[in-house]
Amino acid sequence: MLNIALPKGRLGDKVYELLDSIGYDCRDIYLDNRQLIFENEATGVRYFLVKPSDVAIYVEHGAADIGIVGKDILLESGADVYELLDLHIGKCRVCVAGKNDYREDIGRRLRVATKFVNIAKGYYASINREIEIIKLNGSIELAPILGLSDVIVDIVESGKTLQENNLKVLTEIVPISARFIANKSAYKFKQNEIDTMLAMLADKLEK
Amino acid sequence: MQANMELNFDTRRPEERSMLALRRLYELFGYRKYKVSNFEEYGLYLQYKSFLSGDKILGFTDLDGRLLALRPDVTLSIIKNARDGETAKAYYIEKVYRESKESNTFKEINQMGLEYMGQIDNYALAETVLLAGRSLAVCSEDYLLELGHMGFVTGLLEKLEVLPAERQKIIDCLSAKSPHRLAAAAEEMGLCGADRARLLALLDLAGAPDKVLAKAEEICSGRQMQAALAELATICAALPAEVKQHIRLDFSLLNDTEFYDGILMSGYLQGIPRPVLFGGRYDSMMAKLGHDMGAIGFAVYLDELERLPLPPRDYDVDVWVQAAPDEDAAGLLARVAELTAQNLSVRVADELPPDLRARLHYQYQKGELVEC
Repeated sequence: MLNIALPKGRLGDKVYELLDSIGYDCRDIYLDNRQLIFENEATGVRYFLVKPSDVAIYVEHGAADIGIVGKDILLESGADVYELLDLHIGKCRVCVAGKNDYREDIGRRLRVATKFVNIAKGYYASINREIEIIKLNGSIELAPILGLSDVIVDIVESGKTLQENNLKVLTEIVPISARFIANKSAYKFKQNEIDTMLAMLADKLEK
Repeated sequence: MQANMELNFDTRRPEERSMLALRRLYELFGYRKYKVSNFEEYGLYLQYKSFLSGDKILGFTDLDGRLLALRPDVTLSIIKNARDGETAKAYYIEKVYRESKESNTFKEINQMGLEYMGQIDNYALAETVLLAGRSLAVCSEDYLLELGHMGFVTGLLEKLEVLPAERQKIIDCLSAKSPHRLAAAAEEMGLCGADRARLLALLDLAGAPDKVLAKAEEICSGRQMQAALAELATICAALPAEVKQHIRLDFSLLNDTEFYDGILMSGYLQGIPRPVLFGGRYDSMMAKLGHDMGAIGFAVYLDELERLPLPPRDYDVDVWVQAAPDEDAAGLLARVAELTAQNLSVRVADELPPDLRARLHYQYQKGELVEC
């Protein structure tokens, strides 16, 4: 039995459809209830629906053998897992954004509002820019508008939210997409099952 | 009776049982217990920071003003005290203090390990790998011992003229077994198609030894890579079948510090999400600390064994002897001694705590035990 951690929400739905299409279905997942675990003995899979930011934790600690997670979560958590495949879905970018009329004052420390503290720290350390991090958990776009920060580091998909708040992308830090991850120990003991799923996924993605 | 009681320790806990079994195993192979001092000079770790996993050291100022540290690693202390020209075989049971990235605090880790320092020949290598395998077998029958070789991978990176600055990125991609990231990194570095294919082929070199060794020959070129393959082949051929069936070769097994430079070992147990054993050969580290000899060793992470399941038990103590608080101590002690002599664990109490389950219940009345 393969234990799979799926992110709740839009990305999880897309991933489940993909897994369903290669034979790892679990019809119960469509039931409209509050259940979080779905199992199909015939196909040998057990799905867990978890918060997207927790997928890597479930996999790293071995509660799930494999999981599907956004690259942003992986970079931010630094989870020690195998990153076996890029699924090329859920594509977006982690960007630095600021007000439309923003001009950077390089003589001052930069105030950066973000929920991706580690990604932001890593990026600014790579360009030797001194920053002050302001950790937020949501509505990041508000920070520069209210003068809480100079810029934000956040996920940008279409750029529409930024546009509606009179913000623009200043720099792209890293492209993001969903990744297929595996627990290092589980991969050793269930390698055949995981490799079979991987090969079918890779094949499907190529088509 | 005395001998009987000595053997009557709690054998249910794998972490305790394994520690005793490992001591016996290492002593059988001529290893001697080595006790390192609790504190080490802070400067030692500062000087060799790039060889440690994690860069945080738990330091403090001693009463005499010296800056000391709680060890993040035992091996450095043992190397420091090694004597040139003497082969040393030492094992240790120690605590190390490292940062926990998850909780952003220091954590205490129980380690049991061994170090073989001196002339490292094929026998020394094979014996150490055998002991790593047997160490895992002591903990659980369902184990895998993964072997890699830094020499094979660094040999290839040198052939491909990978710059030192790019090396870490490649090692990260290989350690994550990420073909997409490795392909992107190779493209960024401007590697030609054939070189890119050789680099990506490293990811396929994982599995049973014979199969992987044959496959590895296809991308092997140069003395360093050949020497690494020959070393692995010799070790695998020397191992007894019962250990060899648990061996997997994997050339994406790498370490992110500069500590190891030869063979690498990583041990896994079914049901435990992280490696429970890690080690390898570190000749260049010995040279850096001024010793003209080789070394190889590994550590077992005893704390991880706490995740192994305990056999189910329906009670916590064999006998509950119910006695009022003011009962005569001499008579009660004599009755308890009779029970413990029969290897029965005893709890004397007026009331049994609600979380304690007893198999038998006796009441102490007028110097005798009455079954309830």
